[in-house]
Amino acid sequence: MLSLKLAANNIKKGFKSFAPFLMASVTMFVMIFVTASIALSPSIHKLRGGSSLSQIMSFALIVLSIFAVLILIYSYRFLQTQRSKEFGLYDILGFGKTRIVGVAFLELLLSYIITVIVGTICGIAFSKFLFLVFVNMIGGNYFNLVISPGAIIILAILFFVFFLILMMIGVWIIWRSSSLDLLREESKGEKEPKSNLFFAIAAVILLGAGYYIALTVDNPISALLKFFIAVLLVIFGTYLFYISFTVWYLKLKKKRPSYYKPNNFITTSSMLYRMKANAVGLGNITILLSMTIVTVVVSLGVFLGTENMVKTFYTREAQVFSVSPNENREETIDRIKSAADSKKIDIDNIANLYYVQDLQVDKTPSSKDKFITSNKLGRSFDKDSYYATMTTIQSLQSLGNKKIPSLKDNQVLLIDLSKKNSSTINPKEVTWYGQTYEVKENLKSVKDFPSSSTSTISSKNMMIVFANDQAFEKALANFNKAISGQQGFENLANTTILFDLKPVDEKRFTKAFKEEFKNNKDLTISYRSEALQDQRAEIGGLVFVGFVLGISFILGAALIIYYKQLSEGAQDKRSFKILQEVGLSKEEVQKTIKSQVRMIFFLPLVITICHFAGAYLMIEKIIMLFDITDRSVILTISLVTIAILALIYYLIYKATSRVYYKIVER
Amino acid sequence: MLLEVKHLKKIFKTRFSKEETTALVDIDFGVEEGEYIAIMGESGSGKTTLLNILSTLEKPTSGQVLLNKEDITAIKDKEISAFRRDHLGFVFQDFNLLDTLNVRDNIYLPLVLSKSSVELMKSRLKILAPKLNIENLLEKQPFELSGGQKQRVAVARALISQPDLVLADEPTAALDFKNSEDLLNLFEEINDSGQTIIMVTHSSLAASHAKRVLFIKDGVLYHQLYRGEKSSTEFAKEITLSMTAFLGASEDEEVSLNA
Repeated sequence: MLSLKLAANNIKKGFKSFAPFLMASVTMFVMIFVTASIALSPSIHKLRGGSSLSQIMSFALIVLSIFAVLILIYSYRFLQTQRSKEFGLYDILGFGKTRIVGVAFLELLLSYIITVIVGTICGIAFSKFLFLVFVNMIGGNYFNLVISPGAIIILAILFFVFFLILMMIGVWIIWRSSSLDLLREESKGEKEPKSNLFFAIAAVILLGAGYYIALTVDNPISALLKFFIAVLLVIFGTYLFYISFTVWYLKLKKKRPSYYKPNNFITTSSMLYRMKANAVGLGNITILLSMTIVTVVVSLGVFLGTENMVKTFYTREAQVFSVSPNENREETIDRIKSAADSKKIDIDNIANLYYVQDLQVDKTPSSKDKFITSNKLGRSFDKDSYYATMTTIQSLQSLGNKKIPSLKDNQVLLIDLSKKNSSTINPKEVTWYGQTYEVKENLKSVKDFPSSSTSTISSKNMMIVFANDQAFEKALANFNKAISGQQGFENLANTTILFDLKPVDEKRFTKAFKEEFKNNKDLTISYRSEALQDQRAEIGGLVFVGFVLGISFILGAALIIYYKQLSEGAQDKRSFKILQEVGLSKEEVQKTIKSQVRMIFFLPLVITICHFAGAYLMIEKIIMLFDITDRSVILTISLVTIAILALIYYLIYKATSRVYYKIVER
Repeated sequence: MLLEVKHLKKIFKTRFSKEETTALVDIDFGVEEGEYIAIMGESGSGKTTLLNILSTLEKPTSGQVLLNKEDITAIKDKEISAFRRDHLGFVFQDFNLLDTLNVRDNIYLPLVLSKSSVELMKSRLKILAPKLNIENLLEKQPFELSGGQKQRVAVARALISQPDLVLADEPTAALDFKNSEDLLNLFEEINDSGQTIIMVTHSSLAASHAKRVLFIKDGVLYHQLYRGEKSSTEFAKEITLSMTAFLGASEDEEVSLNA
């Protein structure tokens, strides 16, 4: 019982040295707990892409567990070195190693119990808090984060294993060393790390391979596993990079004559000295920062992108739509107007369109001046396949496109809507399923034409504009004749009427509309604001998950930075005292500290941005899965996220640097 | 006169109470160039305070310390570090080597801080290393060295800037007998080549290697002995005798007072 008392007392009295360890362990617990709760939540399968999402979450769990072990070992070792003197004293006073191990065991047991209890409470509070923040931000309950007992049990078991590992390390340290060693542990020096060429090469190969896989992945869904492999390669590559490459670089710096300048001398040597411990810390920070950026960018990208997509489809607030061939557009417009008038609702910007979208057209290889369709069905992502939209001059004019040239029946306008970078078509003649048209003009763009999600996702896109309804229908009939057999269905021309009205009037208008068109079930009406809401409901959960993970990752990074400052402060305190005695002024000491801190500050940030750049294509593709096709949006989100993250990171560093200064200057 | 210490007084005040402790009452002595002086005293006698003032780590309450006619107590804080590394060399009880630097760089440290050229560092070390018998240690890390080796490295660091004065604070306290003897002989050799040394110690054995011993007690210099032509063993006996005489006397006084 003496051991238990001693252990409890140690934690109470040595709270200053125990607090960081407990904090690390509780924070890791909370991080994993939140992730596990999301992974186990039944809501996750209701999200779009739910199954791949839960796959991603399990992967995140594995990565976080690896982190947790590394961080726990790191902080436990730190704690042990501080306290080894105490253990050595116990041993010398005749307490015996077995009983010291007993004390260490009870300490860990108490720490474990504290971690599980405090971690669970904090985890629940934290996830509920984030949930509330999120609900208020997005407006609406899109993800039900149920706290499952399963998550708590899994976490308790997981951390039991972690603490078992710590116990083994603790026992090994105590057993291995004589009491004198224990007494001296604190002041024991460490050999300067060797710059291991093998590791340096391995780091470059791992990073290269990881980047290569990430850059060459073309289908994000089937390659999810491949991407995980890439991520793992990059994680290990990053650690090795810090361990070997930075040591190599610092050694190189040491060989230059400029090493013998006061500033370089102290900074380089002390960085080199602790690079081994530093490497893991810097690696952890880098990886957590990278994970934060990736999750935030993906979730924000998906969120903003879907909004964007809805807006490109709904170029007006309301859309009345029918695929019935006997729709009379003029009449429908008049009836819509009268329905609005009857309720005294203002509608304007009325446009009517006659078009067909998402035709998969296969182009036969032909001369540059000619565009000849083959009678085969185009395939997505094929380099000679286009998504085509057929429409009429009148539709474009009705949308307010000016300067549209008039056409004869055998003339068409062509608009290449392909993404940049892909080759543009600019033919003088189009052979459209048997009939040849003269291309009167190749237009650059048209405004306000609703674009569908399917057509925008592919890189090759075109619009062909016919002189009038008859010419359009004939061309569509030719297409269907050639293709419908292969496709299994006929593409129908659709009649769409677009107009603007105030969102508050929508309910009343819908009522009037249903009244007016009682006998025409072919017409459906939809609104932009409604579609936006539906999208948010579908996507909101995903954004929440990204939000929670982003915050936990950044918290983890903050913790590691704090730890680094704390442990390095303790190490450097003696060095700076000696330097002052030998003749380094206080200002010079401060200058050196600053330059040292700056270096450590920028390195992970730079590497993180490199990693993100490597993952960028893959991230873009993942976001594109959610029908977001606007690359500039993704880029903007990425840049803004990086800027904000850099700022947060800087603030964390600023705050934790104070800990360091306080210790060093005391 | 290389160093003149004039009416040095140091009073410590604790921040929270008005109680004052007088560490140095009135210290007055001079050091000629090439001298080797040991300052002896018990713990709490004020010898460490005196050394701290000589090393510019502390400022006296009153009095002056002149090094080459320059009052070092009046040097501005900004210049004090530069003064220290250019004019003084230090040898500490616990060696104070930086773990982050290898032996060579530890020795270079003062010269690096005063921005000397690498050639100068190399040439000076080339002369010093064989004298101190540390040629084989230069590439090692401090933790790989024994106490005696560490102290020799620390001496090299103190000498490399060719200081006017080497100040040693209990340099043998962390060493065993053999290593102490070696170090003290080394100090004698260095002194023979013209280096002025002031060493603070409580060991009469250490003090016996000096040319002159100053005894300090309760902040006052109350006695001094010259070694002259005596061997260190003889001189050590003499020092021990004077120590016991003075300490014994004071204990007797206390006893009689109590009685």
